Amino acid sequence: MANLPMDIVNDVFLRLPATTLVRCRVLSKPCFSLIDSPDFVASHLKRTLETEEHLMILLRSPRLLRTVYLDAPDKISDVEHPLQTDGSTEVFGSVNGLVGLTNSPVDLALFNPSTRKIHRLPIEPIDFTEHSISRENVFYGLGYDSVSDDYKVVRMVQSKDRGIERFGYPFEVKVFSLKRNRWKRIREVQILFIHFYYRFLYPSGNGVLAGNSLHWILPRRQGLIAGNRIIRFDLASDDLGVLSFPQELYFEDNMEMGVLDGCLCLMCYSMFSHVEVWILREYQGKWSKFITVESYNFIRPLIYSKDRIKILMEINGEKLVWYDLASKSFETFVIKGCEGLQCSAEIVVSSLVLGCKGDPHRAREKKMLQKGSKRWGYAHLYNVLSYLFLIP
Amino acid sequence: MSKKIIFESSEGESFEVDEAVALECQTIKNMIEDDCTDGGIPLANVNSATLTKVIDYCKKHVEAAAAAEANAGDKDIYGANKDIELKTWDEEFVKVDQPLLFDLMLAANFLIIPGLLDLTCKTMMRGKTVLQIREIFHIKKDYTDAEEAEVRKENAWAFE
Repeated sequence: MANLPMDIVNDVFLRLPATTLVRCRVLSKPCFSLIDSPDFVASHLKRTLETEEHLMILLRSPRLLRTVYLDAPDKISDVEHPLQTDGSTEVFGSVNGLVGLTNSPVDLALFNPSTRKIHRLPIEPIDFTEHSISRENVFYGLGYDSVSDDYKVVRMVQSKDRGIERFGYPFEVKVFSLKRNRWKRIREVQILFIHFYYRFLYPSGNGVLAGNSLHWILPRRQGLIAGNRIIRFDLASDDLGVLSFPQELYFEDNMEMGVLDGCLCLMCYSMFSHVEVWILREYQGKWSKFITVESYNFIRPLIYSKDRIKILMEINGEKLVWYDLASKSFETFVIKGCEGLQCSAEIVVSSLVLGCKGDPHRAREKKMLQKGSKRWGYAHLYNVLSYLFLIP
Repeated sequence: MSKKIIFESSEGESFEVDEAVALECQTIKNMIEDDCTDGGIPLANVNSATLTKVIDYCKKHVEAAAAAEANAGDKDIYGANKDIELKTWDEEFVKVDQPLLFDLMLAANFLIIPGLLDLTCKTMMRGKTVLQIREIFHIKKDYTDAEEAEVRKENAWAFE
């Protein structure tokens, strides 16, 4: 029998998870070219997002990045931590199959767990001295800008020292564009009140993606900021701005932000009783109360079940449950072999973004970076720079 | 009495089906809309064995959709069970030999039956090695051994 026509191969391949496609490159040269072609990568991503197939949960444990298929929780795949394995790497976002990883504000990477392709971001120094920065005043965000078809990483740092500023604390915002592989400084940070404050709501220090923008909660602070606000970074225009906040929650102190179905959500925790979830169904529209969950834990909705009668929720950043919207009951989401494993979760789609080409320098890179694993900043910068010069 | 559509397999055998069943195929749906189905639809690249299976599949899915609609009110109680039942049926349906599965996939692709195409593609690829996929899809290896080794090396983890 003759070879299968490529258009049928294309139709078949579009239906496969990215990890299988990595293997299919070995089939033949036409298959290889097809899977590596930007058009195919884009159609595959489009279809995967539309059908919500091959969705994975990424569990971050100190040594491993573990991915589990949402509809086949027994299919576990462990990926060795691509940056480091000393347990300090954080995942700061997930979009279109990519996750953002950080060891320190100057050691960041984009990683695709399906293809295991990593893209290290060029080192971008921070204006402030090392002792005026701590983890709590660095904020990250990972987003996809559909306008320029680009992946962007936002890094915001606020100094703990007033420095020479007349009031407030110096603030720096930089954005990385994957297309240009460059960082850019956002010069005008016009939201004055940011300067009064050196903490966004933590632990939700990571930007939440919706409506082509990244969002962080800027919580109220007595005497300085009257009510809670949402800071918004527009990925298309690279502008910082403010997004409306539900009036009813202006003065709440225990909140977190998430995203469900592409809509921003605010979780308002009333300790020892319940969690109110608010949703912004239409971006730039009005907030509305979505559900009240009887729970004294920190819950975070992740995704609807296919039949939309349940929502997968993360509890206290350590456990996953299905929440039944009708009966309001919880059912533990069992991942075989992961019982009792405490780790936070992200939903990741199976995509070929970043391509499949292996990174032969990885082993060496890792070795070089381990030297600077405990510190960062200029000492670390030095390590990485020396590595960059070693390898052409 | 609902309208009937007649399919003709590559062997020239005739199959009469309800219009609703034929509408599961996007290609046929377009033909019906264009009103060019009189005197039967010849399917020169679908043999009788495959066509029988395709019709089974479409029938089952039309029935399931009708049943789901009838039970729409009790969806949260029965809807989930029906879904599971249909899924189980699908799984049984594709327990056929590799050549027939392949023909079913080609037929689903030609007739545009998205559900069947999904089902057959996934079943065919499940747990297959590169060699098996080459064989099933009649893909000719055009790499030299060295070239193939190089591609494997790029993502060695995927072949462990």
